[in-house]
Amino acid sequence: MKKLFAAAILTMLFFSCADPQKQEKELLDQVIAKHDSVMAKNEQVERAKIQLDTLLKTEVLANNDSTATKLIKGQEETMEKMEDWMHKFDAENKGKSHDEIMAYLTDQKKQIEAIDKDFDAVITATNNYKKSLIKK
Amino acid sequence: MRKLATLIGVILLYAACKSDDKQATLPIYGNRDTKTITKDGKQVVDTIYQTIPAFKFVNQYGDSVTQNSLKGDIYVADFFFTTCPSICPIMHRNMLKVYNEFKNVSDFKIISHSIDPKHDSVPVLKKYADGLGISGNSWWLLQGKKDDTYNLASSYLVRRPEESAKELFIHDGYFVLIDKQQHIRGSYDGTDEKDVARMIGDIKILRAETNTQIAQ
Repeated sequence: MKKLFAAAILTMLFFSCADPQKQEKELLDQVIAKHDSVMAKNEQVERAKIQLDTLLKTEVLANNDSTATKLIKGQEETMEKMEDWMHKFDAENKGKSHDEIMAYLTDQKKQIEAIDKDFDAVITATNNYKKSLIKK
Repeated sequence: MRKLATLIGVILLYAACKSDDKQATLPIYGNRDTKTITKDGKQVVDTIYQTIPAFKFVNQYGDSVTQNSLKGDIYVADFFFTTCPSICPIMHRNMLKVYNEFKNVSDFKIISHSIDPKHDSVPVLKKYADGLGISGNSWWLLQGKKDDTYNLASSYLVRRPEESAKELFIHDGYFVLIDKQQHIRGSYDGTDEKDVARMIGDIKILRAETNTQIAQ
């Protein structure tokens, strides 16, 4: 019984000592690290879009512009999602409780991870399209 | 023996001066080409260094800024966006040191290109500038067509010889030092205080180099 009591006290002590600010910072760092890696993909897609825009103005894609146009639309939509996320994201979270901050950052992490997957999909589609152009 | 010691002393002094001369010049980065020109009646091979291409953007005051606006200036360029939660606040905290060091120098400027023009309108850039505490025309925050900014960035992002063959990104936080001839003379990690301090030293070297050339 004594042992059980000691274990319960120790468990309570452990949870009460967990630093809420440290938890918030760790989660914020994860969100920001994901944001930075998505930014590199955003640049990759932006450059691919510029290339396709340029090719559409030349004879290279004259007979095949509907696929390229559709691809550009997908690239723009994905980049817009990222922009929207960036504009709304609040890294400061002033005046919020610990639970509110953790819930907000968890949700933001999910959102940026979903955008990351969208970028992967659009990059794959772009690469496949480039390969199809080379084959021709 | 004395003569020998004096001779060695003179040689050492000369070598030290030569060494200082070497340190006082910054390398020129980027692609280079050669062309044969006629100089004093002789055909000589001249090196053509990469330059920053023409551009047109708008600054935080709503004024148009082109490459001509920087004619006769040494400048530092970087890329950012006002809602950036990660590296940009660190970069611009470091850039403030550069601004404070050179804000009263007439032939030096800082240009920060926003990569998010949809959000970073002229009033947003002005508010951001006010938040940083910058005024006057030593540091311009620029915005324009996103494609134009990305195309221009390709000219700025050059790998230093000592750097590995990694891909360079606009969001890597680079500060790029440009001379009065639009050549790239330095590339620095804008998030690293020590590298930014090195850049401040290089700006002084570049200004001294330019002033010496003018004097000649």
